[in-house]
Amino acid sequence: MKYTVVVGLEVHVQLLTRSKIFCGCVNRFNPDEPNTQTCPVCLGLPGSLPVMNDEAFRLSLITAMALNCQIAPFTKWDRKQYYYPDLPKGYQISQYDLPFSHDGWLEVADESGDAGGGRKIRINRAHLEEDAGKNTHDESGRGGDSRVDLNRTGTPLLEIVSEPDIRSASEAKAYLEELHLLLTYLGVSDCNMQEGSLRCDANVNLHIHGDGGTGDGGSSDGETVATPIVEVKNLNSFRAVETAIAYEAERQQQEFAQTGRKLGDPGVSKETRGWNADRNITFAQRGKEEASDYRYFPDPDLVPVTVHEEQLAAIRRELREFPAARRSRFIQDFELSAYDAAVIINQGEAFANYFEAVAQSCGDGKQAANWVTQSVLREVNERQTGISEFPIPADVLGPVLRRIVGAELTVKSGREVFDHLLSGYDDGIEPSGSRIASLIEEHGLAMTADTGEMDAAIDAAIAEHDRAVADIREGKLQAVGPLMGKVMRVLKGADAQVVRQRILDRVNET
Amino acid sequence: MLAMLIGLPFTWIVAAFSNVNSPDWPSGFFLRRQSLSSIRSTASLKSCTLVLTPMSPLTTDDIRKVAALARLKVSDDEIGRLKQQLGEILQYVHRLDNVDTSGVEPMAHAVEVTNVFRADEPRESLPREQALANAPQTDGRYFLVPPILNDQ
Repeated sequence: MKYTVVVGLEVHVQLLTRSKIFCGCVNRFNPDEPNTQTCPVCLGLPGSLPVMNDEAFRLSLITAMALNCQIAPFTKWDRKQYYYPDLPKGYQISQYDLPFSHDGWLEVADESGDAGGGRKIRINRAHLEEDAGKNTHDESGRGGDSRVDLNRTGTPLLEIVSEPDIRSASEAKAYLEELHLLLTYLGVSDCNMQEGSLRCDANVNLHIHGDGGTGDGGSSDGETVATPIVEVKNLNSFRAVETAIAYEAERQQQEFAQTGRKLGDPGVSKETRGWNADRNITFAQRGKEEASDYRYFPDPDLVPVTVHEEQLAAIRRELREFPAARRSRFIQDFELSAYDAAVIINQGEAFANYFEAVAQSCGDGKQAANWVTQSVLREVNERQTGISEFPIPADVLGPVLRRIVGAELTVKSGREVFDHLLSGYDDGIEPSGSRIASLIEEHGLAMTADTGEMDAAIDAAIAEHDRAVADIREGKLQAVGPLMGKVMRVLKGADAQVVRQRILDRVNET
Repeated sequence: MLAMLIGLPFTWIVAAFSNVNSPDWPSGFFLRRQSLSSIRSTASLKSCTLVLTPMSPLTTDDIRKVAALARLKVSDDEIGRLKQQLGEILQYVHRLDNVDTSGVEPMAHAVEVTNVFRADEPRESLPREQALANAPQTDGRYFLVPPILNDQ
């Protein structure tokens, strides 16, 4: 059976404001002190009134613009009514028919990782709403009470709905990773999936292609049929998104093979399924008889918002380069591989800034990328620090690499300088430009450009190693080792390859 | 309990029943004076048009559905009474059908004020004892509610 997986993602992201969306309670993840961040507004007490947080709306605009969305000149908030203990008002303030933004796109890197081969996943809309509280259920099976913590109630929540443009489980993961990267770059959310700052639901179905009557599924007339749409809830890690969609595709294929049920058949409606991350399966959650009927209507407590072009222009001026654009630029300007560019960009904005400063300072993007993605990244991880606390700042590493690029230092000697700068830092010596010079001097690391000096050292070595010289002349090139060792001890900064060749030349000349 | 259903704000009841006939009705009910062009340029014009379909009499199932959505248990006696009372309310609202609204621009809000914001400044929250003070049941830290069937 040939089929295409069709996926649309609904992503909820908590915005990084100081206070909640409609009241002054602090917006902070705090499960250890339940019900300490509430007030009459977010408790839904009678007589309280919500007032929109200007920063929540501003962060929403920034995000929507970064997602290439159209910004609505007029937007309003609606009540979405349902009863659940984590929703004290009995309705969620959300946006229904006039969301503040719509029709955008996010470019996702092609699965092959090729530069420029990205796919545009269209965004249907992004709207601003309030988060609900958190229920904890009694897991003992004895039917104990559920506990409700309303600290989270009223946290500003941006819902970003994609079109069903995603075509595989791995592309869904890539989309979510790209969105995560963008939101983190923009600073609109911390996107901490463990803490629920970024949550994802997936709408999944299959388009089963006609088999022309070969009898292995699909419709016999060669047409494509669609399986019923399933919404998989609570995919709260990148891995969950990928594995749940892969599981669901397999499950729907089997179900279709058995039942032949398809989208649009009488009695077939959208199904909601949960994801069990322990068993790696999806499970049925609600039947149709419980399907929600939210009875939206405009919230009379909040006035509409109009957005003017000047406001958008001001935000546009403040927007920094987006990660996708920066990644392409790194590939283009610094001749990086798509892989290296992605590694650098994925480390976050500060790391990308560090790379860029080093690359500009040393004039060789590839050299800078090698160092930054290997030595620097390894040290940053080992030291469990951020790049901004890394002991060797970009304006010190840059000059080290500039000497390598300018053939004043070998890569090996460069590493030695790097290590000395770090160990010196640990002993209280601040890495600096002058420190580089003194390290090179102190350890004799300067590359020997003077062939006279090199030849003298080589000749001295040849004179001491008759046996090795004889072996080399007989073609046993590995015998060059002892000679190399001798010469390199004298000429510490010499390029080993150059020395080796020069020794061979001298042995054969004499 | 009956008071809970009856005592809902008027708009809620109207909204609750509106979907029985037309899912797009609630937003349409509220007219606003913003220019139509601003709506056309946004997401949906469809749901802003005024749609009031002719009333069919409420059925017992309608009442059961609305009660279930409000998580209310209603007895057969109550269903009969509610059907009549809510039917009368809807009938009353449907008198709006007689108003000629052609050429009247949709309205999203009753007051002509937009862009009311507050600065993003945290304020002190209620002490936990006060937050929990009205809860029917608590353990001193959480609100306690009857077990929610966990789908898992």
